[in-house]
Amino acid sequence: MITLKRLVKEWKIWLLLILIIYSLLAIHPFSPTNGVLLEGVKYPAPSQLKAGQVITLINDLSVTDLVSFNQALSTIEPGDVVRVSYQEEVIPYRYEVRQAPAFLATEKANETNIGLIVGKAPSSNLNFGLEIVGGTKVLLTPNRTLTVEESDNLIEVLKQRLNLFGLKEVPVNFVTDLSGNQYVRIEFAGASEDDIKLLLEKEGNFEGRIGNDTAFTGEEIVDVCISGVQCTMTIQPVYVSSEGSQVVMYSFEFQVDLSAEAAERFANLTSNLSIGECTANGCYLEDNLELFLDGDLIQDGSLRLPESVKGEVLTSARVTGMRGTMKEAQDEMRKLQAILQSRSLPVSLEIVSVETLSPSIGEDFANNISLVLLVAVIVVALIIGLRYRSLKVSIPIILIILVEVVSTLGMAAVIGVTLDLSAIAGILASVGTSLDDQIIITDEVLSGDDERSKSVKKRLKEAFFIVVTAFTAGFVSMVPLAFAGAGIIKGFAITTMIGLVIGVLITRPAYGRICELLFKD
Amino acid sequence: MLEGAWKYYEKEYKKLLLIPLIVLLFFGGVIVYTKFSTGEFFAKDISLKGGTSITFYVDEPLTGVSEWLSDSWGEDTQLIVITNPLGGFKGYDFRVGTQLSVDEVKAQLSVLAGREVLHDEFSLGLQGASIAQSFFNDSIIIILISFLLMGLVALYYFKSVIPAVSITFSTIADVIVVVGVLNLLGEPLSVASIGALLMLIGLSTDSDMLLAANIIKKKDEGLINRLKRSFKTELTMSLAAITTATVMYLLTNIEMIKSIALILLIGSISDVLNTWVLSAGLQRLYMEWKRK
Repeated sequence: MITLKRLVKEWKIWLLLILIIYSLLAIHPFSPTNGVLLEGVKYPAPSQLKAGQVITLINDLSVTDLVSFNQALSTIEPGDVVRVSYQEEVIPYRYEVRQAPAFLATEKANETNIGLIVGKAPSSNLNFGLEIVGGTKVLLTPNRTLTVEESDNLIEVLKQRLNLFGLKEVPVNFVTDLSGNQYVRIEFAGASEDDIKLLLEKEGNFEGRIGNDTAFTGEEIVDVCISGVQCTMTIQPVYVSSEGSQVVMYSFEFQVDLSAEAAERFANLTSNLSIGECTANGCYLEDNLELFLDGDLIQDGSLRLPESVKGEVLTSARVTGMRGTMKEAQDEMRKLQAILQSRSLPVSLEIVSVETLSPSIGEDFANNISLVLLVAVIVVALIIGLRYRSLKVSIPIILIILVEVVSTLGMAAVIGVTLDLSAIAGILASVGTSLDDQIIITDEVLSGDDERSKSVKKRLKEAFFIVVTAFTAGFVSMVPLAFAGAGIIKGFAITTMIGLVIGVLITRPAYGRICELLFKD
Repeated sequence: MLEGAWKYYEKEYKKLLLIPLIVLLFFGGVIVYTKFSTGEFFAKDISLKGGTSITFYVDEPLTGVSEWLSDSWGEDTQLIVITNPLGGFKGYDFRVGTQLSVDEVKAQLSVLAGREVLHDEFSLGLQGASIAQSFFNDSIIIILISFLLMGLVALYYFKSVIPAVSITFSTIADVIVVVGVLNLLGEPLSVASIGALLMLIGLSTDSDMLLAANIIKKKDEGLINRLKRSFKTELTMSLAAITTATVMYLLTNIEMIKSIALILLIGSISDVLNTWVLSAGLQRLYMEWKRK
């Protein structure tokens, strides 16, 4: 009889069970797909609405898919009040419907604008690649070699411009290949090549306004300091007293050069302002400097003006701010620099590769992959069944393989790996190795017939020598691929490595223990 | 009969070593010949040399497709008809050696289909020649580093040079055979092939490690009994790899998966020979030399 004490001791098997449950929660299969996924939020939508939420109701009209979303949208006129309800998951598979604050629809390009960019609600947390969901992948190269600061700034400006299109969470990465060539990789679900051209070439209509008057335009920003070389850009800790005690804050400062005309206009506008709010750090003018692009207020683009700038002609202005940590200060500074530069890109970029992927072909790919995987599992099960002619052996092997697929997908969901075709192939590779290892373990354990003297434990130990050796070799052979830039099937290396690690740490020891229990006598 | 074969395998392993070496020499020769006749060691597809690939699914086969392809984009083009694995027609894959714009492709596809083709009806991959060259260079470096690291791991676990060299050599032999066969078949290598080759390296290492552990590490039974036992294990592994690759190759209509499957298929077959005759032979030579 299995006692509780013995069950507790089977930690290898427990670990396996925990892994399965954790992976299933991470993958979150069978998510309800009633509603539309919020992919981006723009003015005038309120900030409570965030990308990733699922919208279910607009002005009492239920939203179940993109069609009903568009129907609901068509009933709204500019100036109408918009009430949006969205779903939030409180605990796994328990959803609560929340309501965002009501807001007014605006008009943009003769159409009603409610600032919500939506897509199809996903049925799980797995993040499938563009080959499967459709979209556009671009690889761009700068026209000259960039320093680290310049590349950070470029990425920030690109993200800023993407935000202005309402596209948040679009992966923008700076990659370098093994020969040192630099690239920017952008992946949009559902965007077209025209959107990318717009992103790269469009000159935005940038304005800094005080009240209703324009203080300066994008053309009048002569330079934004991003390197600290021959211009000011600093981040330093400062001690601030707060409620009687001293706390460390990080203050940042960077220089923005304006044309003489703009500086003059700025001085005129500020000289008319009276003093508004005062804090421990000093007093500010009653109106903020607000940054607009194409007539839209940029998110976080409202800057307070200290009283010292009132009526001053500043051709070399300083933008300053303070944040709780060094990282926050850095991020905030980069963002503001990017906003001020968002009229145009700091360097020109050339498109080196474009992939536009059709969603309908992608769907077909997904079906085909499912078919191939299903048949492959059946064939492997048949081979294992024929070889061992025992369900006691075959079933655990097949189960472990399925567990490994699920847990690799689970970890991929946790880390946020994009499952493109190469990543799926990587899962296949790790499953192949897994099968090999289990055959090795099984054969070692079953080989007891002619060598009774050797215990199962000893034979398992020998099997694990091979497993660990093969793991190490397999893992290190993936390392160069995982670190190569420019996106050469990196997904392949990542999923293979995840699969191999899960295998050697959790599933293989569990399988060994299962064998030990099954064949102890 | 089987016993006889084992006896021969046990006694004449030195003679048997000639077989994989001849195979290796042959496919190595194919690769060198390809280099002399085409200037490259193997054919590269668009992902490694630059150009455009277009996937276009249609309900019914269209007429005059190949004429249309050469009329539109000249001679440096390739036409692949995609069929549904379960029977039936699916669409086309076009490869064009030059870089095309989406609008241009859309316009030409509309000419072919005789109706307006929409943006999301086709997939298009465009690769600049310089980035493709960079991918290619990186791939070569990646594969070389992988081999080196794998050899180091074997060296660490077996604490001697010969097993490490024989394991690495047998894996390199697999890669040479695969590339040679692809050259004979006229199949170009792509970025996906690099993944497939790495996958193959992983699977090949599994079998080589198993063998090396049995020949070098273990001391019980007789050598031939240990070999017999691991042969059964290894055969199951190879059979699983070969059938899975065959299933993938036959059932998929995705070009990338098909090319991965083909490489795995050739590689797993070649691996049986390279592991059991080449790697095993070298290791036994080493054991014999060590005894003397």
